[in-house]
Amino acid sequence: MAAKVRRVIGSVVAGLAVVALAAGCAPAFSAGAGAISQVAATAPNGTSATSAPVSPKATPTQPPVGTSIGMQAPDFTLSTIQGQTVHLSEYRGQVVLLNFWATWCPPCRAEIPGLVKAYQQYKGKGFTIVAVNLMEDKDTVTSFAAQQHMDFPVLLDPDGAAGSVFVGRGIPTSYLLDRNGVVRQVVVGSMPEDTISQLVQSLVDSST
Amino acid sequence: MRQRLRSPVIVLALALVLLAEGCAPSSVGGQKGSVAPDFSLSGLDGAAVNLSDYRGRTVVLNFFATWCGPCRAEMPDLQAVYGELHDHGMVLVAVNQGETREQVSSFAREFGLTFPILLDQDEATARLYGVRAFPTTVIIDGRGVVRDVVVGGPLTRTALRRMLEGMVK
Repeated sequence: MAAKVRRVIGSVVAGLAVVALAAGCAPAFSAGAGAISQVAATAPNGTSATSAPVSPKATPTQPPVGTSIGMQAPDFTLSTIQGQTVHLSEYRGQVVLLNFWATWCPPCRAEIPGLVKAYQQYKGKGFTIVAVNLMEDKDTVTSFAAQQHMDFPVLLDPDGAAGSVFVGRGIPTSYLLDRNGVVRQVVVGSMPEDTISQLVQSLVDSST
Repeated sequence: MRQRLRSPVIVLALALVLLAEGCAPSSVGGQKGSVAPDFSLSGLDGAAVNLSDYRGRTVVLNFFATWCGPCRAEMPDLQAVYGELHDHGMVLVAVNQGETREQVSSFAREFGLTFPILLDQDEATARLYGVRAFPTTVIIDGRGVVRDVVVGGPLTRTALRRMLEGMVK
């Protein structure tokens, strides 16, 4: 019973979070939205700009590829700081918080402890963080990640290839992907610890 | 019964938290409607500049870093609007985060920037304005009141001109 109630609340909250971003935050976003269209607030216009043709093999229920809420996150291939090649699509089946950051970005640094905490709290529940560093060298990122106890996958985007697709508006940007790799939330700017935790919990609970 | 009553309350409370906090990244950066906090920073030429020096003019305050893609992307449009409006009671002031004078000077040359660029080397001014993403742009009217905050970018010439409508001569 309690679990069911929690699940119901979880899905309502997830819905509200989307509404909060789409409706509540839209006015502040919209002022600068002219040139970019892949962010949540501009989703209705973003479809054509960011979607790729759906592969003929796709099932009818598979959403188009893009970076707006409700779309299938575009895949990418990058290396971790340990030198391992990974594809974003490998994390299907887990809820993923995809964070784009840099060590020299103060708001990015500010949210790292909250990310670390959320990872510790939810990693056993089908959740992972994938932190994509934007265009820094491996040594800088490796030592920063060690200092900050970033035990989740930290990926290097040396030429900004993934960043150019996912980071249209500002640094940091975080995406919350559900277990099917569909974008469920986009947040531009540093998130307080409890916001991270609430966003992750809502999705982890609603998709188990 | 109790359970039933409690759920909507929790949901409502969470909704409020989400609205207040989930939206925070798009609404921080000097509160809209409040007086823009004054600061003193040195420009690329080494001279100190106070925000209050510009009282009486509309100020577009742009927090940026040279490593930030969306910041770079909006620079040509910021420069264009500055070129069009700086004789009409508007000034654009760019505040760089934590980089060296050399890095910023070469960035200014690369983009042909002619507006004042200030160095916020200890990031204190960004903290003062609650900057939570790069870029962040704050529009301040001639009385020093924050009229608009744009978190993220890239701002286009059209969008910025629209925001400044009625605020420039």
